[in-house]
Amino acid sequence: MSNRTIFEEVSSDSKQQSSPTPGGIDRKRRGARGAIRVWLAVLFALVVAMIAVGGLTRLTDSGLSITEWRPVTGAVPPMSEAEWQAEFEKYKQIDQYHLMNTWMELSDFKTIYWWEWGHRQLGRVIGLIWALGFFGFLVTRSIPTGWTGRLLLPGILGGVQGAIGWWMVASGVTLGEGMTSVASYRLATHLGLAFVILGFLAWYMFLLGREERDLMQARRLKEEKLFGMSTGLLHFAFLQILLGALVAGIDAGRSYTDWPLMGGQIFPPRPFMIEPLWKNFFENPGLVQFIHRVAGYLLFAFAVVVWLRGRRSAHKATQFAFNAVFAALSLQLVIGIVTVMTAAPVEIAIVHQAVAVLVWVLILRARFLSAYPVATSIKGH
Amino acid sequence: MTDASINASMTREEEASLGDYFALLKPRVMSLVVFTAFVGLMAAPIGVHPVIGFCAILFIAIGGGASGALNMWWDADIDQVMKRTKGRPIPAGKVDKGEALSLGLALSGLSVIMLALATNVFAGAFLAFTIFFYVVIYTMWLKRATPQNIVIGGAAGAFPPVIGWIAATGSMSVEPWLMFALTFLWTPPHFWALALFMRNDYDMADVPMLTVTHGRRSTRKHILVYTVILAAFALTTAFTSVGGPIYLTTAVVLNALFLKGAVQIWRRDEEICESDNFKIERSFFKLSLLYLFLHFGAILAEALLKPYGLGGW
Repeated sequence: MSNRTIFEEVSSDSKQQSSPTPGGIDRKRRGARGAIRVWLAVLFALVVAMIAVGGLTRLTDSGLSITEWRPVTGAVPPMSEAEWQAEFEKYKQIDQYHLMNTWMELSDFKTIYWWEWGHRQLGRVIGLIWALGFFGFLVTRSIPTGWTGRLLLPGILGGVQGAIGWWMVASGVTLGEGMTSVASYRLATHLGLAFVILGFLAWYMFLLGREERDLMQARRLKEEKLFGMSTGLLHFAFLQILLGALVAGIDAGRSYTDWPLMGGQIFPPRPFMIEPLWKNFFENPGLVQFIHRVAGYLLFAFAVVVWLRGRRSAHKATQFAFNAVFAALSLQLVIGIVTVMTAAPVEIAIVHQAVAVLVWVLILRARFLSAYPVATSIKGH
Repeated sequence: MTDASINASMTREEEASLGDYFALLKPRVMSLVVFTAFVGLMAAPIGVHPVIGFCAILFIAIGGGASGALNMWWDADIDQVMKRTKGRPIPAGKVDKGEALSLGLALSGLSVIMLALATNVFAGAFLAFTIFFYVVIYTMWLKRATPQNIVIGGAAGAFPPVIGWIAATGSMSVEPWLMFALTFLWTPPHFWALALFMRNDYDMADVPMLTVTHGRRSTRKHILVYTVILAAFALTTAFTSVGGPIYLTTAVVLNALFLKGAVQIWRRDEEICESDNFKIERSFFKLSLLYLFLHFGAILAEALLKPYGLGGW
């Protein structure tokens, strides 16, 4: 056996080891991240519009104008005078007409009908755009690894939302039960789910806006404390949105128009007039508005604490995100007070709802940047 | 190690606590603002619901705190030099200048809008003017431009009782302006007495305090002049709707003591001052703290006793 040097090749036909190439993470199926993000952005914009139109449908008392659930055939509105008259006759069969709107002519009915039809039609458009996008990306195998389930979720939730929408309307299309609007609990469920869908769309857009390797690096810098606090703020804001829906559902925003008092008192008069007691927390206008007010103060106080913590983040983008949350919440607090002081006119009430959407998305953005901070270059330090 | 992780490790050595942010709002000055605004609110002829009163005082306090934060943001350079202010959050390196600016602007806007909503637009507008006056006219412009800076600063600090009164009534009258005059005319003797035994501080910071620009002799004369005018206004207040026997007694005693102290300061010789470590000046400064508190306390006592037929004339 001849002596070999330590570093000599053992086998003459052994292949040369190739040097590792960078970008291993992104060599997995990257998919059409940009295109999917654009599709999600379109859905996001449509859901925001849907929330606004839904709010206006509620504020104009138009939600019960279509008394049937026709997901497909309902896409075509009444075309002839006879069809309009038939729709109006169906509306005349419910309590809302008998107790509130006996003064209505066909032209008045058309106004409320178009609001509800527009809201439902927008829902159909959202469903269609989701389906076209999802199945299009699925067929062309453009969905990045691990994203199929995520992109399926908004579609499933959208379908559930349509069913909840009808479940909500069904509570108001009654005769002889004295219901002149939909059940506020169901309205809160409907609005709550809309915000959940919007939240998922926003979160997915944030994720797709960054490369996978960038996200993996950023995750190492996750600011745990700040992430936890922003998650708490998100949940608290969601609760306040649900309380806002309860206020809207029973027109509680118009019951007490003084601030900081309510009817000249700290606590609204007769807060427990409904039997059984627990119903007051959902159906007594004074108490519901009071709870929404107090929750608003507490949410704002917590937001100040979170903001001050966010200001101390090492990352400029994260700091800015928390500044934006605080600014939007301050604006929302002021608009909320103005809303009750002006007895919730449609134009102010809808701004209050729109700013709630803004606050929601900005909290999500701040939370995202706590989990995946944007690396700040040392050069600018 | 990535840029970001290096950056993350380069955060301030001493993380700012909630206490540091609170210190930005100058809580000691804020306590004076709260107290005088509360007296203005209570002395007003129109009663307000306790909750509305609480909200009004809270928003006035936040507005005062916002002014303090903006003042610290602008004065960070001189605060670093002066012994008295070195421990403030910005020179201590606990809070960034930008943070003080953000906090000040956010709280200013919020306090003004909320006061307007809780009480009336006039009160909100007056609070906005006060913040503007203190931050822009005093802090940014005149503080470093004139030895009469403390007089202008005194005006800014004297507005709270007027705001409190407006919050309750929605209108103006002579009484809140007499309360304004109390604080306005009290501020120069109070601070100039402090400057007499803290002159080096202002010297180093290059702030044109009267002691620096005109010397101690002139400052002593100014203290006496302002004290005489202050006494006249303080005694006049006793014979208005906010005055009464309690206030008159308090004013007579305190102004006699204050005038006596001012005369002593005016007569003092510099060498004697150095030898006894400014004993008279220090006691005058301590009395000045009590002076304002007791005057406003007497106005408050008159207001609280009025419903029982005991206060007022």
